[in-house]
Amino acid sequence: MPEPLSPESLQQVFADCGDFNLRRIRLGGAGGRLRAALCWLDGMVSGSAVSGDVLRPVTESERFGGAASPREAAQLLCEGLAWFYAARRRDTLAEVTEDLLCGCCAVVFDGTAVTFETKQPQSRGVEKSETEKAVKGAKDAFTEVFRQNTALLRQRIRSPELKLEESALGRRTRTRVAVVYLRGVTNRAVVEELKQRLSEIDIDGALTTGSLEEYLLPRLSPFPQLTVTERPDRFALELLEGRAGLLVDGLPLGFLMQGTLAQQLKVTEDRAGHPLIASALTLLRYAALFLSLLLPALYVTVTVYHQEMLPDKLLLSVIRSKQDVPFSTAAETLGMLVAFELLQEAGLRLPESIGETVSIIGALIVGQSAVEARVISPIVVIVVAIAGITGFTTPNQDLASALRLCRFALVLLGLGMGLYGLVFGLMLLTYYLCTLESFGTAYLSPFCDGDGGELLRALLRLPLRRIRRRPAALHPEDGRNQK
Amino acid sequence: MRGKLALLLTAALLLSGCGGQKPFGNYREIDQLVLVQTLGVDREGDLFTVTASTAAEKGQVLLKTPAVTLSRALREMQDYTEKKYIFYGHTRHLLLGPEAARDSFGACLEFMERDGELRMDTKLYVVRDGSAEAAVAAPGGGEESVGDLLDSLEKDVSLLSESHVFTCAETAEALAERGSVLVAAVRLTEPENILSGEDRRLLLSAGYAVIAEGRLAGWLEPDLARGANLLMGQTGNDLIEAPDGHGGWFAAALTGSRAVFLPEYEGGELTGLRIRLELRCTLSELEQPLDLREEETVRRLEEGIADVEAWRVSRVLDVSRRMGADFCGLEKAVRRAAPLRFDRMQTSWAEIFPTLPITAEISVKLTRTYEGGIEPLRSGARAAG
Repeated sequence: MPEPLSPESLQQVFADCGDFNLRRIRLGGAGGRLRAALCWLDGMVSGSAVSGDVLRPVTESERFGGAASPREAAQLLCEGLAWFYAARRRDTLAEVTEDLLCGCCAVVFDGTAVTFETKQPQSRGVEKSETEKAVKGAKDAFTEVFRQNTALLRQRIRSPELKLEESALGRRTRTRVAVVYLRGVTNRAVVEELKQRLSEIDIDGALTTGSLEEYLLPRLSPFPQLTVTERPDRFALELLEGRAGLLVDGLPLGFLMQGTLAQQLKVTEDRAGHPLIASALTLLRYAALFLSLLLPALYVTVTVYHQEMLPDKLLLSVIRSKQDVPFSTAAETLGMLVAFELLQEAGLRLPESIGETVSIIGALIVGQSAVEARVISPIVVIVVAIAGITGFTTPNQDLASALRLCRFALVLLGLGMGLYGLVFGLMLLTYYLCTLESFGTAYLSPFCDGDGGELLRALLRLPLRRIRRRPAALHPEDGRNQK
Repeated sequence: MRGKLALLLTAALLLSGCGGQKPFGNYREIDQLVLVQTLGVDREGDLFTVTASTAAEKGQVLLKTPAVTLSRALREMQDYTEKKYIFYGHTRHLLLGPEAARDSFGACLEFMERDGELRMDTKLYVVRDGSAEAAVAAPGGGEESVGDLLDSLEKDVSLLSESHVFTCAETAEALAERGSVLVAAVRLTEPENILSGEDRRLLLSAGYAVIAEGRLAGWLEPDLARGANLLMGQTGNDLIEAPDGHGGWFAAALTGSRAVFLPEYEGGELTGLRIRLELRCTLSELEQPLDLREEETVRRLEEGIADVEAWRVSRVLDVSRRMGADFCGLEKAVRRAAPLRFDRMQTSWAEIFPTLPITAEISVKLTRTYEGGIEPLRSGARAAG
C-alpha cells in the first residue's frame, strides 16, 4: 500500500536532506481557507521562477478565492492560475518525489499536488568538442544537460519523425535517458531491442558511459560496439543513416547503436571535404591503423627471427643502432611501449599545462637522454613513436585503445613464435572481430557481408550524389536517402 | 567456438609450413649477428677454402676457413668471430675461383640451394686468373667492401654490355634447361693499374665463364660476350664503334634488339638455322662530318654496325659449337619456333648442333641521324657532300 501524498509524507521522504525546502502557504493570501505546502530542492530550481511564476499568483487573494477543496485548487493551478508554462498534476508520492528530483517545485495538498518544471539550468554552456575537433563543420558539442542535448539535436532534425522516447535509469539515480531514432528510417526492431535492453538494466546508478555500454551489450569487448560521439551534427548524421541513438542526462555524449569498424574510421569532416581528399584521408587512416597495430610486432619479429627480410643497408643500420644497448630487443620494445602508455596516461589526467611539461620531459628529455646513454636504441624509439602517432589518427578513442591492447598481444606473439605467431595472432584477431556484432549488425560490416558498392563506400568517400542508399547492414526501413 | 579455434590453429600450422617451430627456437639478437655479404670459394686438392667478407663499420672484415665441405667451412667460421652468430642470409655475391668452378661448380650451386640461410638470388661470379680469396680481399684496407665493388661492377657491365650478372637461381635453371650456362667472369686489376692506395685492387669484368656439363669449360672475352648477349636478348647499352665508310669512325649506342630464330626443316630433319637480328641504335658520335641527309650515308653506317655485330655473333656461335655447349639457349629458341617438328626429329640437338649451318642476318635501324646544329660540322658536311 503506497504512502498517501501529503506535505508530511514528503517531508519524511526527504528527511535529513539539507537541500529540501518546504514552505507552508495559504492559497489566496491571508484570508485564504486552503492550506498547502510549496516544496523544492535548493539549487535545482530557479528562485525567480518559483517566487514570480508560482508563489506570487498562488497567494494573491483576488486570483484565488473560489476553490473550496484541494482537488479544485489543483485543477485551477493546472488550468493556468499559476503562470508557469509547464505544470503537471500529480496524485502519488512517488511522482512528486521524482519531479522534485528532476528540478521541479511542487504545490502539495493532502492527496494531490501540482508540479512546475522550474529547473535551474545547470550548464557550462554549449562548448566546442574536445575530442572530435571540427575544421569545416559545426563546432558545438553535447553538454551534461539532457534537455539542451535534445534541443541541439532537434535544431538539426526539425521533423516530428525524430522520436525521443524517454525513461529513467538507475534505481537510485533515476537518470533520464532517451532512445533517439527517426521513425520510418531506423529499423524498428533495433529500437525495440534497445528499449528492451534498457528496461532490463537494474542498477543503482547510470553515471558513467561504462554503466551503459557494459549493460547494453551482451558481450564485453575492448572494441567499441557502440559509437560514442560528442558532436550533435555527427549524431544527427548517423540517425539519418538509419542508426538508433541514446542520450543520457549528465553525460555530454551521444551513444550510437550498431557501431562498426568502418563507421569508427570515418569522421564527419569527410563529408565536408572534396571526395578525392576525403577518400585519400580515409585510406590513410586505414593504413595508419594497420601500421599502428603491426609495426612494433613486425619490428620485433623481423629483428629477432627473420633478419633476412630486412634490406642489407637497413639491417646494418639497425645493428649499428643496437650496438652497446644492454637490453634485448624484446625488453626494449616492450619497455618503450609501456613507457609510451605511461606518458600518454600521465598527460591525459593532468591539467593541460602540466601535461605538456610531462610530454616534453618524458618524450624529449628522457627519450633523448636514454638514446644518447645507449640505454635504448634509436630505432626502437622510432618504431614505437610511429606506432603511437599513427594510433592517434584513429578517430575513435575506444578503438584506438583496443588496438593498443592488441599491439601488445601481437608483440608478445611475435616474440614467442616469430612471423608464425604474428600471423596466428592476426588470424585470431580477425576471427574475433568477425564474431562481434552490435544490435544485429556485424562489427566488420561491410567488409564481411557487404557488396562491392558498400566496400567502396567504407574505404572511400564517394560523391554524395552517388550515395543514394543508406548502409544495408543497418536494415533501415527506408533504404533511400535521396532520389 | 572451440572447434573453430582448433580449425584455425590447424590451418595456421599447415599453411605456414612452420609446424615444427618451437617458441623462441630461433631467437637471435640482432646486434649479435655478423653479416656475411660476399662469399669466395676456392678449391685446392680436396679442400675448399671459403673466404667471407662481413659487413663492418668501414670496409670489411674477412674470415677464412679451409674444410673438406662447404658446410663445415661455414660452421667453422663461427670460431673466428667474437659475436654469437654468423648470418649468411644476406650474402649477395658468391665468387668461385677457377678451380672451384672447374671441379665443384655443381656442388657449390647445390650447396646454395640446400642451405637454409643462403639465398638463390645471390649473384654468381667466376674469378678469372686469380683466386676467389684474392678477389674478396681486393678492397684491401679501404673503406669499401668487395660487395660494393661487385655492385659497382654489375652496373658497369650492364652499361657496357660486357656481360650480364646472373643469380644462382637463374644459373641453376639455365643449367638444368640447356646443360650449359654463362656466368659473369671477373678479374683483378694489376697493382700497377691503381693510382692511389697501397693494397687496394679493383675488380673488372672479364666477359663470361662458360659452364658446360657442370664444370668450367672456357671463357668468352668481353667482345664476344656482347655477341652472346645479343643472342640471349640481354642487350644492355652496348656502344658499337665502326668505320663510317669515308675513312673515319663513328659510334652508335644500341638501344634495343630482337632475335628471331627461323629453323629450316627438310624431311623432318633440321637442316639449318637462320637468325634474324633486328637492332635499333642511336648515333652518338661522328669522327668526321658526314651529310646525314643522304640515305646512302646512313645506310653505310647501318652496314658498319651490322658488320661488327655479325662478326661477334659468328664468333660466339663458333665457340659455342666448338665447345658443344649451347649456352645461348638456341635449342630452346628453335623448339619454341616449331615445337612439334622439333620433337619429331630423329636426331638429338646435341648431335646436330656442332655441325648445323647457322646464318645470322642483321638489320640495323639507326636513329638520331638528324643534322647537327654546330656550324663547322654542318658546313663540313656540305663540303664533303
